Amino acid sequence: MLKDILISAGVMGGLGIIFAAGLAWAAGKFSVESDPKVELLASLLPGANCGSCGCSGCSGYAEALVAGEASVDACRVVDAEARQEICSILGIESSGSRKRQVAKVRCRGDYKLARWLARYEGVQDCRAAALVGSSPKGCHEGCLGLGTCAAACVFGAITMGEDHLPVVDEEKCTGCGACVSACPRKVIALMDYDVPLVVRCNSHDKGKLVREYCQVGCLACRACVNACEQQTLALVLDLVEVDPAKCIACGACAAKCPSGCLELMKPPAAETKMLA
Amino acid sequence: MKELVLLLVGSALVNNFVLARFLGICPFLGMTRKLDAAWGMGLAASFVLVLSAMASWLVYEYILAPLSLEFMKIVVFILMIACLVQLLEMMLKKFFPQLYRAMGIYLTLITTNCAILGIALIVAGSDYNFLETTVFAIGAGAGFTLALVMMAGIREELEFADVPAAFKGTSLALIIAGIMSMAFLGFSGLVPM
Repeated sequence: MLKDILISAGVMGGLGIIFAAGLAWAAGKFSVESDPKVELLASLLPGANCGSCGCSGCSGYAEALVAGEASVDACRVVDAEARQEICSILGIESSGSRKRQVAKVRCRGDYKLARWLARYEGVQDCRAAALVGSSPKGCHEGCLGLGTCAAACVFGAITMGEDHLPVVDEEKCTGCGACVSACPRKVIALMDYDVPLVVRCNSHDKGKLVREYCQVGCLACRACVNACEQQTLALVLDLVEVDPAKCIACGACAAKCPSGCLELMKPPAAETKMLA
Repeated sequence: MKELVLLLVGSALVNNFVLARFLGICPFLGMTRKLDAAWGMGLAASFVLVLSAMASWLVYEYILAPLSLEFMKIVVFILMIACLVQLLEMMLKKFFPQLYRAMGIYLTLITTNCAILGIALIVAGSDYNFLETTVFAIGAGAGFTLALVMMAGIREELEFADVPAAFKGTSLALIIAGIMSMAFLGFSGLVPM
């Protein structure tokens, strides 16, 4: 009995050692040199594997960069110095500055301010709720508050507030765009980090309809358009849009808005984090 | 000589590993969307098939059987097949990097391909001699590659056909496989088992 165990163990072990030795020899003989540039680039990249570049993770992006199949601008997360180094390693000139973008939520309609037609008891995911025949929320373009964007964020920058609206931590947000793809209503959008004015409404319905289902939705009343002296605001399909280049952040429009859906962002702090 | 030819035809067509024995279905369905991928997979698997059949026969005949360790054949064969697949991976990475990247995980999955373990178990303890084993394995590999390439050809053509939504993808592949198997039934009786 013991003899059988020892013999079988010995045979297995012996075969294992022989094959391992053979593989080790073969590994030496058939070794492939991987381009050291790929590893260097991969170490410079953020390593978050968010996929906003369109490649399979940061190492996939590094390979694509070396092969010349991806552009240096594809990565939205990498910071200025790393980007410069990457450009110099690849031997290409860095193509100008890229403004830092962060995600901003374009809705203020929480459970108190917006009218909900029914209590949604299905799969607790915004994408599933958006598929329900008629929207559980009166507003067809408003935030459903089930946290799909927060779950999609790999950087932990989005949390759901007590009012069931997403709160974006703009310091953690890297502008990768994962939340934008995840949102079925496209309520969360990427804007410049230091944009002066944000329209906190996504509804393109006429004012009368908006009033029925939301106290803080844009009514397309033109009060803001008339109040603005710089002509930065315009009504597009019954929703206000801002031209950030012309806006001087005077706040005249926000004061006039009956719904309070125009939010003046605080003036940028002394150290604005811009990408060179 | 005649026996060897019959053996070859038998393992390639009559008892085709994929269509008659239903072994190795994973790459048959997974790597047959493109003809090139199917070719590559077929040849790579054939390479491992032949080597592992030969190695399995030798180990069984000269190590396991004399020491009355036949019960260990499954474990030992798996060990050898895994090592052979590692060897294949290294060689492909060096000499055919394109194919290596195209095959991806399916290359490593050749280790778990039941056609390979299947052939090892068939030849071990059978009354084939070494030459017959090798010919049998070459025929099996050829039949495997044939089945994969045929399937890939059909699937590539049907890419452009107006397939009903419910049948797209795997459903259609399985239906094609069934019809191909039925067609290969026509070979039965060609070679005495």
